[in-house]
Amino acid sequence: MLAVNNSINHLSKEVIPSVENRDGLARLSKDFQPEDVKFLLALNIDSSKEDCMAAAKEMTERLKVFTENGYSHSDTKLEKKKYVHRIVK
Amino acid sequence: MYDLNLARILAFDIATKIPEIYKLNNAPNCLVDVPTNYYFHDISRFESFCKEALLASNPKANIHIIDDYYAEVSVIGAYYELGDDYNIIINPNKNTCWRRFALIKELCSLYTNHYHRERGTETLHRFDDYQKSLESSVHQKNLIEKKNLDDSNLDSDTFAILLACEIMIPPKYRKYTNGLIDRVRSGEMTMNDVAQSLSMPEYILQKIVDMDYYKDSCLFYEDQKVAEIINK
Repeated sequence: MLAVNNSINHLSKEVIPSVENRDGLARLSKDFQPEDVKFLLALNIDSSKEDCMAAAKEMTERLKVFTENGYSHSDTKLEKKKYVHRIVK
Repeated sequence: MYDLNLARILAFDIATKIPEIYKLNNAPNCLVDVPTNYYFHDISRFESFCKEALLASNPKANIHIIDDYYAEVSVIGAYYELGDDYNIIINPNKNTCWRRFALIKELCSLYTNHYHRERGTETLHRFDDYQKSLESSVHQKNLIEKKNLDDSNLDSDTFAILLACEIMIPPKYRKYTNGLIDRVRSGEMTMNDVAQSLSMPEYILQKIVDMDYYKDSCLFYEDQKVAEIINK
Protein backbone atom coordinates (compact mmCIF):
# COMPACT_ATOMS: atom_id res chain seq x y z
CA MET A 1 0.00 0.00 0.00
CA LEU A 2 2.80 2.30 0.95
CA ALA A 3 4.47 1.51 -2.32
CA VAL A 4 1.25 2.34 -4.21
CA ASN A 5 0.90 5.62 -2.33
CA ASN A 6 4.48 6.49 -3.07
CA SER A 7 3.86 5.65 -6.68
CA ILE A 8 0.78 7.93 -6.78
CA ASN A 9 2.68 10.69 -5.04
CA HIS A 10 5.45 10.29 -7.53
CA LEU A 11 2.96 10.46 -10.38
CA SER A 12 1.21 13.50 -9.01
CA LYS A 13 4.50 15.30 -8.69
CA GLU A 14 5.98 14.26 -12.00
CA VAL A 15 3.07 13.96 -14.38
CA ILE A 16 -0.04 15.80 -13.18
CA PRO A 17 0.50 19.55 -13.31
CA SER A 18 -0.62 21.59 -10.33
CA VAL A 19 -3.29 24.29 -10.67
CA GLU A 20 -0.52 26.83 -10.66
CA ASN A 21 1.23 24.92 -13.41
CA ARG A 22 -2.00 24.66 -15.40
CA ASP A 23 -2.35 28.44 -15.31
CA GLY A 24 1.25 28.68 -16.34
CA LEU A 25 0.58 26.15 -19.06
CA ALA A 26 -2.14 28.31 -20.60
CA ARG A 27 0.09 31.34 -20.50
CA LEU A 28 3.07 29.52 -21.95
CA SER A 29 1.02 27.95 -24.72
CA LYS A 30 -0.07 31.40 -25.76
CA ASP A 31 3.38 32.91 -25.45
CA PHE A 32 5.30 30.07 -27.01
CA GLN A 33 6.13 31.09 -30.51
CA PRO A 34 8.06 28.25 -32.18
CA GLU A 35 9.04 30.55 -35.01
CA ASP A 36 11.22 32.41 -32.51
CA VAL A 37 13.35 29.32 -31.92
CA LYS A 38 16.64 29.71 -33.71
CA PHE A 39 18.36 26.52 -34.78
CA LEU A 40 22.01 25.76 -35.20
CA LEU A 41 22.16 23.12 -37.88
CA ALA A 42 25.01 20.67 -38.27
CA LEU A 43 27.19 22.68 -40.61
CA ASN A 44 29.51 19.80 -41.43
CA ILE A 45 26.90 17.45 -42.89
CA ASP A 46 24.64 17.80 -45.90
CA SER A 47 21.20 17.04 -44.55
CA SER A 48 18.24 17.77 -46.79
CA LYS A 49 16.10 20.74 -45.92
CA GLU A 50 13.18 18.36 -45.26
CA ASP A 51 15.27 16.41 -42.73
CA CYS A 52 16.34 19.61 -41.01
CA MET A 53 12.76 20.85 -40.89
CA ALA A 54 11.49 17.59 -39.45
CA ALA A 55 14.25 17.49 -36.82
CA ALA A 56 13.71 21.12 -35.87
CA LYS A 57 9.96 20.66 -35.64
CA GLU A 58 10.34 17.65 -33.37
CA MET A 59 12.83 19.48 -31.20
CA THR A 60 10.45 22.41 -30.87
CA GLU A 61 7.58 20.11 -29.87
CA ARG A 62 9.70 18.53 -27.14
CA LEU A 63 10.85 21.92 -26.01
CA LYS A 64 7.28 23.17 -25.79
CA VAL A 65 6.21 20.29 -23.54
CA PHE A 66 9.36 20.61 -21.47
CA THR A 67 8.95 24.35 -20.78
CA GLU A 68 5.22 24.03 -20.15
CA ASN A 69 5.97 21.44 -17.51
CA GLY A 70 8.28 23.77 -15.68
CA TYR A 71 11.49 22.45 -17.24
CA SER A 72 10.90 18.93 -16.07
CA HIS A 73 9.27 16.11 -17.91
CA SER A 74 10.88 12.73 -18.17
CA ASP A 75 8.95 11.73 -21.29
CA THR A 76 10.44 14.47 -23.41
CA LYS A 77 13.96 13.08 -23.05
CA LEU A 78 15.08 16.60 -22.38
CA GLU A 79 17.27 17.32 -19.42
CA LYS A 80 18.15 20.61 -17.85
CA LYS A 81 21.85 20.66 -17.34
CA LYS A 82 24.29 22.91 -15.63
CA TYR A 83 27.84 22.69 -16.83
CA VAL A 84 29.77 22.82 -13.59
CA HIS A 85 33.22 21.36 -13.76
CA ARG A 86 36.24 21.40 -11.59
CA ILE A 87 38.69 24.23 -11.94
CA VAL A 88 41.76 23.11 -13.81
CA LYS A 89 44.95 24.27 -12.16
CA MET B 1 23.32 46.11 -37.60
CA TYR B 2 25.95 43.38 -37.41
CA ASP B 3 29.33 44.30 -38.73
CA LEU B 4 32.49 42.27 -38.75
CA ASN B 5 34.40 44.59 -36.53
CA LEU B 6 31.77 44.35 -33.80
CA ALA B 7 32.54 40.64 -33.37
CA ARG B 8 36.17 41.48 -32.63
CA ILE B 9 35.25 44.34 -30.34
CA LEU B 10 32.80 42.19 -28.37
CA ALA B 11 35.32 39.34 -28.20
CA PHE B 12 37.93 41.79 -27.00
CA ASP B 13 35.45 43.11 -24.44
CA ILE B 14 34.75 39.58 -23.20
CA ALA B 15 38.46 38.72 -23.15
CA THR B 16 39.27 41.74 -20.99
CA LYS B 17 36.30 41.29 -18.65
CA ILE B 18 36.88 37.61 -18.04
CA PRO B 19 40.61 37.14 -18.57
CA GLU B 20 40.53 33.96 -16.52
CA ILE B 21 38.96 32.28 -19.55
CA TYR B 22 42.42 32.27 -21.05
CA LYS B 23 44.46 32.14 -17.89
CA LEU B 24 45.93 28.68 -17.82
CA ASN B 25 49.13 28.05 -15.96
CA ASN B 26 50.43 25.64 -18.54
CA ALA B 27 49.83 27.92 -21.55
CA PRO B 28 50.81 27.76 -24.34
CA ASN B 29 51.21 24.02 -23.88
CA CYS B 30 47.53 23.91 -23.02
CA LEU B 31 46.89 24.15 -26.72
CA VAL B 32 48.56 20.81 -27.20
CA ASP B 33 47.38 18.93 -24.16
CA VAL B 34 44.10 20.29 -22.83
CA PRO B 35 42.76 18.49 -19.76
CA THR B 36 39.38 16.90 -20.50
CA ASN B 37 37.44 18.93 -17.99
CA TYR B 38 38.78 22.21 -19.28
CA TYR B 39 36.18 22.22 -22.07
CA PHE B 40 33.29 23.37 -20.03
CA HIS B 41 35.07 25.20 -17.28
CA ASP B 42 35.65 28.21 -19.50
CA ILE B 43 32.07 28.09 -20.76
CA SER B 44 30.79 27.93 -17.22
CA ARG B 45 32.54 31.25 -16.58
CA PHE B 46 31.27 32.67 -19.87
CA GLU B 47 27.76 31.56 -18.92
CA SER B 48 28.07 33.42 -15.60
CA PHE B 49 29.33 36.47 -17.50
CA CYS B 50 26.27 36.42 -19.79
CA LYS B 51 23.98 35.94 -16.82
CA GLU B 52 25.50 38.90 -14.99
CA ALA B 53 24.91 41.03 -18.08
CA LEU B 54 21.29 39.90 -18.22
CA LEU B 55 20.69 40.38 -14.49
CA ALA B 56 21.80 44.00 -14.71
CA SER B 57 18.70 44.78 -16.76
CA ASN B 58 16.40 41.98 -15.63
CA PRO B 59 16.80 40.63 -12.07
CA LYS B 60 14.58 37.66 -12.92
CA ALA B 61 16.65 36.53 -15.90
CA ASN B 62 17.52 32.88 -15.97
CA ILE B 63 19.61 30.84 -18.39
CA HIS B 64 18.55 27.25 -18.96
CA ILE B 65 20.89 24.85 -20.69
CA ILE B 66 18.99 21.82 -21.87
CA ASP B 67 20.20 18.57 -23.39
CA ASP B 68 17.89 17.07 -25.99
CA TYR B 69 18.64 13.34 -26.15
CA TYR B 70 16.19 12.85 -29.05
CA ALA B 71 17.86 15.48 -31.22
CA GLU B 72 18.60 14.37 -34.76
CA VAL B 73 22.08 14.63 -36.24
CA SER B 74 21.09 17.56 -38.44
CA VAL B 75 20.54 19.88 -35.47
CA ILE B 76 23.37 20.78 -33.10
CA GLY B 77 21.55 23.23 -30.93
CA ALA B 78 18.82 25.80 -30.65
CA TYR B 79 18.06 28.97 -28.76
CA TYR B 80 14.93 30.82 -27.82
CA GLU B 81 13.78 33.34 -25.28
CA LEU B 82 10.57 33.07 -23.32
CA GLY B 83 9.85 35.88 -20.92
CA ASP B 84 12.63 35.92 -18.35
CA ASP B 85 13.92 32.53 -19.47
CA TYR B 86 16.74 32.19 -21.95
CA ASN B 87 16.87 28.65 -23.24
CA ILE B 88 19.79 26.97 -24.93
CA ILE B 89 19.20 23.49 -26.26
CA ILE B 90 22.16 21.27 -27.03
CA ASN B 91 22.31 17.98 -28.89
CA PRO B 92 24.22 15.79 -26.37
CA ASN B 93 24.79 13.12 -29.01
CA LYS B 94 27.42 15.27 -30.71
CA ASN B 95 31.06 15.12 -29.72
CA THR B 96 32.58 17.44 -27.13
CA CYS B 97 33.93 19.92 -29.67
CA TRP B 98 30.57 20.37 -31.38
CA ARG B 99 28.71 20.60 -28.06
CA ARG B 100 31.19 23.17 -26.85
CA PHE B 101 30.85 25.13 -30.09
CA ALA B 102 27.03 24.98 -29.94
CA LEU B 103 26.95 26.15 -26.34
CA ILE B 104 29.36 29.04 -26.91
CA LYS B 105 27.60 30.06 -30.12
CA GLU B 106 24.20 30.11 -28.41
CA LEU B 107 25.59 32.04 -25.45
CA CYS B 108 26.97 34.50 -28.01
CA SER B 109 23.48 34.78 -29.54
CA LEU B 110 22.11 35.50 -26.10
CA TYR B 111 24.82 38.03 -25.33
CA THR B 112 24.62 39.90 -28.64
CA ASN B 113 20.81 40.01 -28.56
CA HIS B 114 21.03 41.46 -25.09
CA TYR B 115 23.84 43.82 -26.08
CA HIS B 116 21.77 45.25 -28.92
CA ARG B 117 18.55 45.37 -26.95
CA GLU B 118 20.29 47.36 -24.22
CA ARG B 119 21.01 49.90 -26.93
CA GLY B 120 17.41 50.06 -28.04
CA THR B 121 17.70 47.78 -31.05
CA GLU B 122 15.57 44.72 -31.48
CA THR B 123 17.79 42.10 -33.03
CA LEU B 124 15.93 38.87 -32.44
CA HIS B 125 14.93 37.25 -35.64
CA ARG B 126 11.19 37.10 -36.06
CA PHE B 127 10.74 34.44 -38.65
CA ASP B 128 7.46 34.14 -40.48
CA ASP B 129 7.46 30.37 -40.32
CA TYR B 130 9.68 27.33 -39.95
CA GLN B 131 10.55 27.40 -43.59
CA LYS B 132 11.96 30.87 -43.40
CA SER B 133 13.72 30.10 -40.13
CA LEU B 134 15.44 27.08 -41.57
CA GLU B 135 16.25 28.76 -44.83
CA SER B 136 18.09 31.28 -42.74
CA SER B 137 19.99 28.51 -40.97
CA VAL B 138 20.87 26.91 -44.30
CA HIS B 139 21.87 30.34 -45.50
CA GLN B 140 24.18 30.45 -42.47
CA LYS B 141 26.02 27.46 -43.89
CA ASN B 142 26.42 29.17 -47.24
CA LEU B 143 27.80 32.23 -45.53
CA ILE B 144 30.44 30.32 -43.62
CA GLU B 145 31.53 28.71 -46.89
CA LYS B 146 32.43 32.15 -48.21
CA LYS B 147 35.97 33.37 -47.82
CA ASN B 148 35.07 37.00 -47.79
CA LEU B 149 32.10 38.03 -45.72
CA ASP B 150 30.17 41.09 -46.70
CA ASP B 151 28.79 43.13 -43.81
CA SER B 152 25.46 43.50 -45.55
CA ASN B 153 25.01 39.72 -45.58
CA LEU B 154 25.70 39.29 -41.92
CA ASP B 155 22.71 37.98 -40.01
CA SER B 156 22.60 37.52 -36.26
CA ASP B 157 23.42 33.80 -36.44
CA THR B 158 26.48 34.28 -38.61
CA PHE B 159 27.56 37.05 -36.32
CA ALA B 160 27.20 34.70 -33.33
CA ILE B 161 29.32 32.08 -35.12
CA LEU B 162 32.09 34.61 -35.72
CA LEU B 163 31.98 35.76 -32.12
CA ALA B 164 32.07 32.13 -30.94
CA CYS B 165 35.17 31.55 -33.08
CA GLU B 166 36.82 34.64 -31.64
CA ILE B 167 36.27 33.16 -28.20
CA MET B 168 37.25 29.62 -29.14
CA ILE B 169 40.52 30.81 -30.68
CA PRO B 170 41.61 32.96 -27.74
CA PRO B 171 43.08 36.33 -28.81
CA LYS B 172 45.86 35.83 -26.29
CA TYR B 173 47.03 32.64 -28.01
CA ARG B 174 46.29 33.74 -31.55
CA LYS B 175 49.94 33.99 -32.48
CA TYR B 176 50.65 30.53 -31.12
CA THR B 177 47.59 29.10 -32.88
CA ASN B 178 48.73 30.65 -36.15
CA GLY B 179 52.10 28.97 -35.63
CA LEU B 180 50.29 25.63 -35.38
CA ILE B 181 48.29 26.41 -38.52
CA ASP B 182 51.54 27.16 -40.35
CA ARG B 183 52.77 23.72 -39.30
CA VAL B 184 49.56 22.26 -40.75
CA ARG B 185 50.30 24.02 -44.04
CA SER B 186 53.81 22.62 -44.06
CA GLY B 187 52.48 19.14 -43.41
CA GLU B 188 53.92 18.69 -39.90
CA MET B 189 50.50 18.58 -38.25
CA THR B 190 46.90 18.09 -39.30
CA MET B 191 44.11 20.58 -38.84
CA ASN B 192 42.40 17.98 -36.71
CA ASP B 193 45.32 18.14 -34.21
CA VAL B 194 44.93 21.90 -33.92
CA ALA B 195 41.14 21.67 -33.68
CA GLN B 196 41.39 19.08 -30.93
CA SER B 197 43.87 21.18 -29.01
CA LEU B 198 41.48 24.14 -29.19
CA SER B 199 38.50 21.86 -28.41
CA MET B 200 36.62 23.15 -31.41
CA PRO B 201 35.18 21.42 -34.50
CA GLU B 202 37.74 20.93 -37.27
CA TYR B 203 35.15 21.95 -39.88
CA ILE B 204 34.60 25.31 -38.22
CA LEU B 205 38.33 25.92 -37.60
CA GLN B 206 39.18 25.15 -41.24
CA LYS B 207 36.46 27.46 -42.53
CA ILE B 208 37.34 30.30 -40.21
CA VAL B 209 41.10 30.31 -40.82
CA ASP B 210 40.45 30.34 -44.59
CA MET B 211 38.40 33.51 -44.28
CA ASP B 212 39.69 36.99 -44.94
CA TYR B 213 37.87 37.91 -41.77
CA TYR B 214 40.28 35.79 -39.71
CA LYS B 215 43.35 37.51 -41.18
CA ASP B 216 41.87 40.92 -40.36
CA SER B 217 41.01 39.65 -36.93
CA CYS B 218 44.60 38.57 -36.29
CA LEU B 219 45.84 42.02 -37.36
CA PHE B 220 43.40 43.59 -34.92
CA TYR B 221 44.84 41.58 -32.02
CA GLU B 222 48.40 42.33 -33.12
CA ASP B 223 47.78 46.02 -32.62
CA GLN B 224 50.14 47.05 -29.83
CA LYS B 225 47.50 48.64 -27.61
CA VAL B 226 45.10 45.73 -27.99
CA ALA B 227 47.90 43.21 -27.42
CA GLU B 228 49.01 44.99 -24.24
CA ILE B 229 45.53 44.78 -22.76
CA ILE B 230 44.98 41.15 -23.75
CA ASN B 231 48.38 39.97 -22.52
CA LYS B 232 48.07 41.58 -19.11
